[in-house]
Amino acid sequence: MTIEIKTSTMKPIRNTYAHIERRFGDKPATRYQEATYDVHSTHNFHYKPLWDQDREINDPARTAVVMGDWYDLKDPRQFYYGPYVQNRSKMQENAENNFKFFEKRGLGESLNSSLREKIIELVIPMRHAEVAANLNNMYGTAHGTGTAVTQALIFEAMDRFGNAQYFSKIGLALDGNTGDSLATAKEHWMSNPAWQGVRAYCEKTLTIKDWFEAFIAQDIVLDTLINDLYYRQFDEWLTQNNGRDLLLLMEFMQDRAKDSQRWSDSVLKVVVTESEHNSNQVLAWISTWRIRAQEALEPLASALLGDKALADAFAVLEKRLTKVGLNC
Amino acid sequence: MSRVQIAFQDNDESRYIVAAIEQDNTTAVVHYEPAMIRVENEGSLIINRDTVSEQIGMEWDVQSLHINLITLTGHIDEDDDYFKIMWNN
Amino acid sequence: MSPKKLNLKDKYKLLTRDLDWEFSYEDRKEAFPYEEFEGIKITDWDKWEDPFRLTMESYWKYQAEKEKKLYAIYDAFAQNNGQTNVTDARYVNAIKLFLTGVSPGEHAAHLGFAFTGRQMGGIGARVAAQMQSIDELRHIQTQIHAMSHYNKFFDGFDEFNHMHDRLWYLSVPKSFFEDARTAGPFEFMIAIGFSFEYVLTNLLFVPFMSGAAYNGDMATVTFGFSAQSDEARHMTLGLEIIKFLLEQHEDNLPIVQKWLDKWLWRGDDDGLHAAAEGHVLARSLGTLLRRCCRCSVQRPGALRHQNARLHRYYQARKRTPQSSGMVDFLSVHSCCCIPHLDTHCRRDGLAQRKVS
Repeated sequence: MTIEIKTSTMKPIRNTYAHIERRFGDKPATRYQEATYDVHSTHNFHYKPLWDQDREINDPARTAVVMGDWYDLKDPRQFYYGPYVQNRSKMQENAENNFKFFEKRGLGESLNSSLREKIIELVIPMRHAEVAANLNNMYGTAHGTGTAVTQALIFEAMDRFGNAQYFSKIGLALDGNTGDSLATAKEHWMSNPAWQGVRAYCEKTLTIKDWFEAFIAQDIVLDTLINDLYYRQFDEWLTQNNGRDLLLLMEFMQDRAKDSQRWSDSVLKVVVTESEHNSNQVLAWISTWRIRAQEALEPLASALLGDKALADAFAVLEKRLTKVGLNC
Repeated sequence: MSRVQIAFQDNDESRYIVAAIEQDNTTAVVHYEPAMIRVENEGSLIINRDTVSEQIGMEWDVQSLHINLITLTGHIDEDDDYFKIMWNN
Repeated sequence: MSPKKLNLKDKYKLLTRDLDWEFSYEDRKEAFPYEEFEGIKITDWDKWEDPFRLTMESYWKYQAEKEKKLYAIYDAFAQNNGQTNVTDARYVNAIKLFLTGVSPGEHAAHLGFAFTGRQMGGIGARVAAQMQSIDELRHIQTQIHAMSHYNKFFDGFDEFNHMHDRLWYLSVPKSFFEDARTAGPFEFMIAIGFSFEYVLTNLLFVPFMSGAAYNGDMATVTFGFSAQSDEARHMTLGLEIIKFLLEQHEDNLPIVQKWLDKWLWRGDDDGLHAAAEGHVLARSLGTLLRRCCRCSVQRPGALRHQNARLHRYYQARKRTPQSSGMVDFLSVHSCCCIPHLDTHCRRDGLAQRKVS
């Protein structure tokens, strides 16, 4: 027996917004498309910025990179606000449970004291480096072109602030919520030779004027190296040195870094394959910042893992750059 | 003295918060408007976690009021077990 | 030894404050170059009181809950062709004004708060501004999605951005937000954080959304009220910024007062909203003007204890509370043709900062 359900339908007079239709044709659009494409204002600005009188409010000339269409920087994760917060909410629920478990089971107390010292000296100060990452990505949100990339940059910026708070929470988990570890970690950040290179690098990135250069210095060069040092090499080291419990507390940062790299790889690839001009410019920035990163990270990598660690991290960076067609 | 106000979406969860407010702020006035419940009081208004938890019948997290909150006026003082709005003058 | 119990205030302080540091290798002024040119003096960023103590974790958690509920309603609205339930098809004109007039402003606010969220020296203030920035992104995107269904059945939505940049009556909100975005970080915070978010938003959006509910438009009500909960945080940021600036240094008072005078004038005379609420709603909840007067008389608390006075324009308005929405709309019509103000001598497009 066939079942026939009578329905009355209402035919729409158009499928989507005109600018979406111009790009993708007369068909229903995805939420990502409608939320992202052509949202930035581009014409008839009423005033010039007091803080940058040579340019318009929204101005592609705030970077040396040139794109025919900045909306080519589509996020492979297709994050707009909704999916972004929902994704991170799931991750934070995991993290919250991990921290609760760590505290409930007294895993902080059972950690051996030299390992605890090492974490406070060489991991917790990352909370400060994450502030620089937050600011560098925020800079791109404010001055970048096209919602495709600017929204991804604010998601990255807020993620990094989340990281800063998670590193802080690790400190609290180790010092019984007194905050002493955070004060000690700050002293290390300010005066321990292991950290001065990284601190100097971070301070320098905060003076960059070109927002894409800031993206390169932070999200590509420094982050690739730090992620490899902490979330791959140090992860292995902890596993072999009775520090497995701590991995519970670093899981968020690890998973988030992997997720973020999908996006930053894509940005790099699209920009670099757009033109020789872009490719040359990005290469020039990478050359400058990798030298600085080498110098900055040497003492830290050595203290954290030993002399071979940084070279291994650089190999990972090379691989990443080669994958998008950049040969340094 | 100035009035403070707080408004919630008119749904099942807010009902309990508003009931708790009425219990702990006896001079508060509740207005029911389309899709919104608005509460006003002279000077200050407090939402106590324990009162709301009692109304709901389970542990209530103060910060979860963000889900149903529409708006408010006044300076905020919040902690784990209460949320207060007030004017300082 | 069991860990010490941390309350919300202490936890937030440990997780957020003291993350920033004194620079040694670069001049901090190079990293934060726009803090001084407006004449504002900050003596101690540590005096900043975080208006809401939302950690990033809590932010993700509660915002995600809101999004789930919001999009469930959008889906239901689309599936049920909810647009057929509005009181009168002409009501839809009000939300056309919204998408073309307000939504691009949300995006402008998003970029403006991203700017101040990067440029201010104090981490507490920066975090609040950054959260506001991402909230405003939420607003424009949820608005685009709410209107998406209407766009399929009505004209007047499909070129919202194109129109915002070109139509004469939309130049009012465009100019408002672009004026704010081109200002320095502190003026932006007062203009949008305080004047717009604190003073205007309750008058504009809450009744507008109530009006939408009254007229049967569930999609708009939903995003409106959901957005408004973010606004509660934004308003407290606005209130905190004005309190903070006025308490930091006495030299800030004349500067802030001048900004209040300018921005309350710019905001109140936004005929677009008067039109949307007083004139266009099939069933109206009263004019914007009447509500402005009521609110500014009843709740001057924010300003009074700071010694700043109620903008003199409000004083004048108080004396003439009985105008209709149409009169508002017409009286602003002439103002719409003059979007530029003399305060910054910007008629020729070249900005000159004059701080008296």
